[in-house]
Amino acid sequence: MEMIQAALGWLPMWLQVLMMIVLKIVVILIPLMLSVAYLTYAERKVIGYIQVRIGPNRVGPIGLLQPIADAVKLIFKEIIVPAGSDKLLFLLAPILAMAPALAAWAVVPFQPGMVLADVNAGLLYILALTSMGVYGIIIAGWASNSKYAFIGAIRSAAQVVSYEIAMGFALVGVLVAAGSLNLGQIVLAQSGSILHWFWLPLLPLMVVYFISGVAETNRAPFDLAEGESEIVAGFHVEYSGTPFAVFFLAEYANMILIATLSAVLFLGGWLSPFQGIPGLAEGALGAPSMLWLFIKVAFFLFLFLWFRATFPRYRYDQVMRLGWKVFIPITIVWLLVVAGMVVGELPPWFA
Amino acid sequence: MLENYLPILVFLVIGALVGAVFLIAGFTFGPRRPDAQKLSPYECGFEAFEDSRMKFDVRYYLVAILFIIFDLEIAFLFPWAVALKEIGMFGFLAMALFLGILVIGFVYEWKKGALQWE
Amino acid sequence: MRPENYQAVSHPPSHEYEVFFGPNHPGIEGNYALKVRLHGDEVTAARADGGYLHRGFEKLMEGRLWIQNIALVPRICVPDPVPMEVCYSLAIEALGGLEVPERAQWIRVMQLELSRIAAHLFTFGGNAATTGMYTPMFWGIADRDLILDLFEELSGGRVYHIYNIPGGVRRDLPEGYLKRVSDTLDYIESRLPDYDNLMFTNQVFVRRATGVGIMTQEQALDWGVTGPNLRATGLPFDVRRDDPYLIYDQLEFDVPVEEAGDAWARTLVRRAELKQSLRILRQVVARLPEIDGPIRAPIPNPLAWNLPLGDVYTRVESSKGELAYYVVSNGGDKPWRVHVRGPSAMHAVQVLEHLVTGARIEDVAQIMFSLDACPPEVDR
Repeated sequence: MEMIQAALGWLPMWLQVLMMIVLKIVVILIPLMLSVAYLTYAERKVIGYIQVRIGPNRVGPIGLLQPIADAVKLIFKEIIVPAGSDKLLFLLAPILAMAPALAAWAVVPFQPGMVLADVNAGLLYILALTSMGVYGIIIAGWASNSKYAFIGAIRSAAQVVSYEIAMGFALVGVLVAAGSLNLGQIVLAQSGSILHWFWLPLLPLMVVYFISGVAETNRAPFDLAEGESEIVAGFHVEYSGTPFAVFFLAEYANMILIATLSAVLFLGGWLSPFQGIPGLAEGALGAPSMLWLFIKVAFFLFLFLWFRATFPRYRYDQVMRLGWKVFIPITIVWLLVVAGMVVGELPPWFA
Repeated sequence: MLENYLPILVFLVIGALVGAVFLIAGFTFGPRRPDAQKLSPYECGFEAFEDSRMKFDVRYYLVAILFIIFDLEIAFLFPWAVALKEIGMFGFLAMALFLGILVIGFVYEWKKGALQWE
Repeated sequence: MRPENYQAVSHPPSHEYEVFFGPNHPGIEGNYALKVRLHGDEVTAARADGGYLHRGFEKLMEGRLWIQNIALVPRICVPDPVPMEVCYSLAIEALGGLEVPERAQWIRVMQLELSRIAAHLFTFGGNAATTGMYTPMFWGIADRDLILDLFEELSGGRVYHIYNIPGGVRRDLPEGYLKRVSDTLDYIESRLPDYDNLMFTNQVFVRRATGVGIMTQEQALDWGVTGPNLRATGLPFDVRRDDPYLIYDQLEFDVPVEEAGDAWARTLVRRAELKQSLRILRQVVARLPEIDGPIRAPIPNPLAWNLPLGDVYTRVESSKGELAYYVVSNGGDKPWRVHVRGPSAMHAVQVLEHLVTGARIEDVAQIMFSLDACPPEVDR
């Protein structure tokens, strides 16, 4: 880092700062985009094996180059802008879906001290940005001038805002437990041992948060915005080529984001599961590391794929019922329980 | 303090740029041979015969209104949650009262059938 | 493109709109179209259009020799082709007064039941896929393929076997065939708990299917619905038991019944039927080795084969209901008139339109698949 900074020393100060920020962002973005690409590969492989087939295996060894081939193919496809559409909004929508999915990563801590923007309102920022993604979907549905897209868009809007509430309450629960909005502080508040992580005192909130996350990313079994057996492909029915690819990337980036946040908020982020166990905690196993975070993220991502292979899509009334009549009461009750535990300084978490 | 937020702003711009770069790449490398059939909206093989930007079910609208109320409540809860350790029992009871009122409203909506989708 | 004679149901009021399901739609079974009018998410009117698969089979048959039509009939319903061959053969045999040897009858029953299992596995998969769960579909197709392997070994064709001919079947079972049938049955039986876990005890799926597309017994009878759809309304009518053909009267099996008449009841009936088919096949596999004799009755030169004047109505129980052939002969070498009672024609048009009305848009595809509507049967 210092070396790069020195090499940039001849530039004006503001440009130096900007260059450093851009560099860091690129360092986050490139692995992220690669993860997105290979998440699509992992999805096809995992679901393929669940469905007694082998998934992609033609492009490169065991199909490893498939995501690259897909990207190249989509770039060389024609972009069709339907005649009756609002052309500006039609093309703006994928960008609006993409930007928040990526920008939310600014406050995600990967390791102690390793975060792009160590802001105190991290959680608030996350809450704001994860709900921004739905604008892309609504605008896409409206701009397409297709009934299927329109139905998909209003469904998606109602669904996302419904689960936003349960998600918000779950986040407040985490806040109460950690006493900070800063994601790094939240991780540190969970140090101690695997039992100190928030998954134990906040178990109902973790379940609600993750399922709401699945609903917010419009993934199966909550993929009503693109329910293909009724509204064909929903909001992106008219999209082709790279605009479609951008929606696709945004969806997968959001999946990784939700998985990462679940790991950070409830499974101790970068903390080692062997922390606090005598005999294991002393060595490298007990040390906090980015690798632990990645393992936890992979676990949640696998859940995403597993859900998709084994659950039918909910009907719309069932989705709304689950969000409003199950999740919101659960979170309100558990919020009070957590607050009570914090005020009562219940050991071992809140002593 | 505020300089911490500069990376976020830059990230937002770059995030939008990434999307834009993809679109530009698609427009640059992809073919462009539009025709009337291709550009007509998808209607399962039929021609579209009415505008798709129609009125929609009021229940969707209702959800949006309810959402605003609840989301505001959550926004109120954020500062309380951060400060709960300092304000202790008094803060807890005050918020329990607040949540109680919220729950009464929620129950009212529920009984009124605002959450009914069937 | 809009067809020339296209007409809207009527001019929709401002708060209603029309959406097409098909012919080019992932939630529709086969080449079929359903035009629905929606109010919010609810269907207020629907019109089915099965004309996309009109191939004029019944007319085509009038121009072909009696035996040539055997190559035509399995194409009427692709997922379940064997009953078509058997039913048409039965009709000719009845007209020509042919006595089918017993061994051929047993082989036919084996084929019919294998075909039923294949069709039901296919339907489970399709039904699950309409709710966005694709795993049972891939499983079903993979397991169905094992049955198609058996068909291929027996007849050379995986889907269109052209194996039943008037008077019997084309060739005898290959060496060790019954053992392979038995192994396949074991395998499919061992897979059933997996299907149960994934689909039949999956609460999300149960709730998606319960209370959807309810048909009362009265309605079912009025509309002429047969097969699993009728039995799901509580009436245990099964051609195999109530009007036995071939050697079904020598076999033990139950006729599963459900009362509710909704999509879930129909799915449950099919699941129970699949088990009954396995049971029948076990009996057939056990009995077939004892039954010797010819596999077909001698027929005259098929190129100059005039069947006596008369008409005949034969029916069999296909996976979708009562399949029947009404064949009229004027004493010539070709049928004078053939009418096929495709069971789906009863429940895929008016019934579908009726059940879909009032349902939510999400359930349209599910209702269609739970009825097991087979579009090629609708407009032959």
